Amino acid sequence: MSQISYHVDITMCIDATLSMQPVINMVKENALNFDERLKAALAEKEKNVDKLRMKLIFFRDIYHDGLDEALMETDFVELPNEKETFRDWLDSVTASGGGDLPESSLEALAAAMKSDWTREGDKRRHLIVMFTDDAAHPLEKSASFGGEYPEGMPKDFSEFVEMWEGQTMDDVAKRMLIFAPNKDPWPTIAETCDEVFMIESQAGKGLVDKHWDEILKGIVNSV
Amino acid sequence: MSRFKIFFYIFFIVFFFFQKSLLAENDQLKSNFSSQLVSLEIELKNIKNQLNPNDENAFYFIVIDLLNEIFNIQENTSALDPIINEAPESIEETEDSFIQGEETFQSENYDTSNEIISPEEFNNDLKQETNYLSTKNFFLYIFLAATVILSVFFIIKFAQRKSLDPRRNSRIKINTDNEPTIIEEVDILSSKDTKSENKNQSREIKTYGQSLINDESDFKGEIGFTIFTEKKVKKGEDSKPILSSISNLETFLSVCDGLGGAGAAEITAASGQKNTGAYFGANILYDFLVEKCNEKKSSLFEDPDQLKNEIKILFESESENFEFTSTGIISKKPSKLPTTFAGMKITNSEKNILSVISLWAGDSRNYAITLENGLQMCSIDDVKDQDPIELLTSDSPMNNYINAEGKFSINFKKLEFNKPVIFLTATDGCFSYFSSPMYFEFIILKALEESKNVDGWKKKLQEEIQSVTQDDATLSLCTFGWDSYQNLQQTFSGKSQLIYDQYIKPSKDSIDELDRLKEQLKTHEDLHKKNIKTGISNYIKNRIKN
Repeated sequence: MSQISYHVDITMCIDATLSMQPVINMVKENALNFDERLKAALAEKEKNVDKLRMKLIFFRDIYHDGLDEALMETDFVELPNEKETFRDWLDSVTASGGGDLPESSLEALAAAMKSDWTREGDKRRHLIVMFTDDAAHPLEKSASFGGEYPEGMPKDFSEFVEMWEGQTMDDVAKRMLIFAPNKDPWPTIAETCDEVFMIESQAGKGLVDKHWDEILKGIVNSV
Repeated sequence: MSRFKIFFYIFFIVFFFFQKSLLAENDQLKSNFSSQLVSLEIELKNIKNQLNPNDENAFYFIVIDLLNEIFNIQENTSALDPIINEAPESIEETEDSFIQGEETFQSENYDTSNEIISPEEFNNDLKQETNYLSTKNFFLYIFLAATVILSVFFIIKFAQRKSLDPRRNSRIKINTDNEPTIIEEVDILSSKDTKSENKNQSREIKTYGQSLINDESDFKGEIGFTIFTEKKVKKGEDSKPILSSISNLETFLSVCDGLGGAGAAEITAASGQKNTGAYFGANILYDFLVEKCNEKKSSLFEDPDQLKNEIKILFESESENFEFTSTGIISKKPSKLPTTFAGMKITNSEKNILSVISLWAGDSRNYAITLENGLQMCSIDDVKDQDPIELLTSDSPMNNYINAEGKFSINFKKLEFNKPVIFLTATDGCFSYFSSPMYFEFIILKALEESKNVDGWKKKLQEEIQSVTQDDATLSLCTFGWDSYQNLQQTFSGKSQLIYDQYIKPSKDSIDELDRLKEQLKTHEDLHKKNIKTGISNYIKNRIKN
């Protein structure tokens, strides 16, 4: 029997704008069954995770939908023990809004980095997963924005990189998986930041099973 | 303009020129023939008018003779035989009268020499023209044939070059500088990838990880063994370990661990063998190291730059032998054939001193165990977090490992040890899943103490590792300074108990105490919840009035 305990935290940042309508239900369904699929994938490799927690961040466009509708964050829930709570959160979200094409996805990632990640376990994995079908608003845009904007956000891309490379997250445990189209700033983030992996998705097609398999593979291989 | 286009323009111009002159000559010939035929027609009409309308045979023979005269056919039988042979027998019977009539015709009524070209002249002209045309046609045909052959040759060459051109059938994206950038190669004509087809032809068919240390280089020391375990049989990504006596004084041991994360994508070797890039990376390196041991190239392990260059060239070349399926993953991390490497070359040059060269890339480790200092690391993991405690207790992401993209370095450290010493190299599956580094040392020495011989030591250590690990585990171990297993055992006798008492028991006691406290806390929480519930129930009873 293993002498060490492995704790895995996953924060999923999900684009909930209208363009995600065709795939949002698939996203929700996969997220709900994620713990079971992970367990099976780990068992396949004869590996084990002692504790799995998940958190959701739904995002839209702060500049178009307003802060309350554009950045919604849950707490971590332990799966499978708190599956019902997780299901309720997922059910409460519908695809809507979005405005112009870029979304507030960088703000969602910054919020994910600041999550209350676990410090328990001998070994840990802190994983951020981003699902979007579009580009992100540049962070510099917030300087000229008069509306409500979340606090503690990086002001530009270099601050965003510093936030990821810095002490906000456990340097050893952190990983980021991005499922996004080949649009700014996604490839740049993957090529600039350590431990970030981007898988290109087609705009309007969102998530497919392949993407979920990649997430599972990423977790299983890193445990 | 391409050479191909220029060639075709020339071809069409020359062809047009010859074609035109040939047509002109044919027109001239046709015109001559027409005038002759017109004259002939007139002659025939005149003769016919003078003949007896009932005597068709006479007319027939006059025409034959006239034609023979015109064309001056000496051996005319061949040309006119069919006509003669088909002529009615009555013609032969009346030939005399016909000849007579002919004489009349020639002498009295007709002198055509002034009106038309004589048959001899005409025939000569015709022969000359025919000869001239035949010669010219011969050269023209030769030229056209050569042109066609050359054209076919150029077309084939051009098609081959096109098929190899990476720009063919590529999706072109215009970037911000308006420079076309190739972002993806897609063969839109065929479901088959021509590039990979051509590549297949040049790919070397070979198997990986099957090399063996030959008898001459096999380990000849007193005590040594290797452990190779796969978490899932045939699905492992560690290569086999190496333990080799390169010479009487030099020993080499090493392990390679393919990176299951970065190299998770399945690739196909030229032989059709499919496995992850991690598996092939580790086994390509293993084959290379075995080859160097068998070739007695021990000096290579003393020169990390040379070693790196040779591995770099090998991996770049080997990557050509694989079909990489695009994963579409963008990352800073190199992902082609990624593997760790840890190796030690030990030279037993002086009586009591061992010179050790420690080489590594990644998080596989080289260790030495001495009686004085216990388990010592002879390598420092290539990980982001170099804090000693983090290094030993967490699995920080690697920032250096061997790969086919050439983005790696090989660490090198020269060390000296006094005998006796145990040396081992190990992949992270051996040491990462014990609760602490002390526990790994404890297990090695406990297995040594509890076993009767080298095989027993190997078996017990393997069982202990397999009982905790969640990964493939590979290890290579050898000792210097002991001439028997019993001497080795005696040296470390009681050492594992010391480690246990000093490090493991306190840790274990502490964990047990924490577990006890957690249980106690849970009991108190449950009791508290129960009390609250009872309190609320009592409170409601007294305050809700019916």
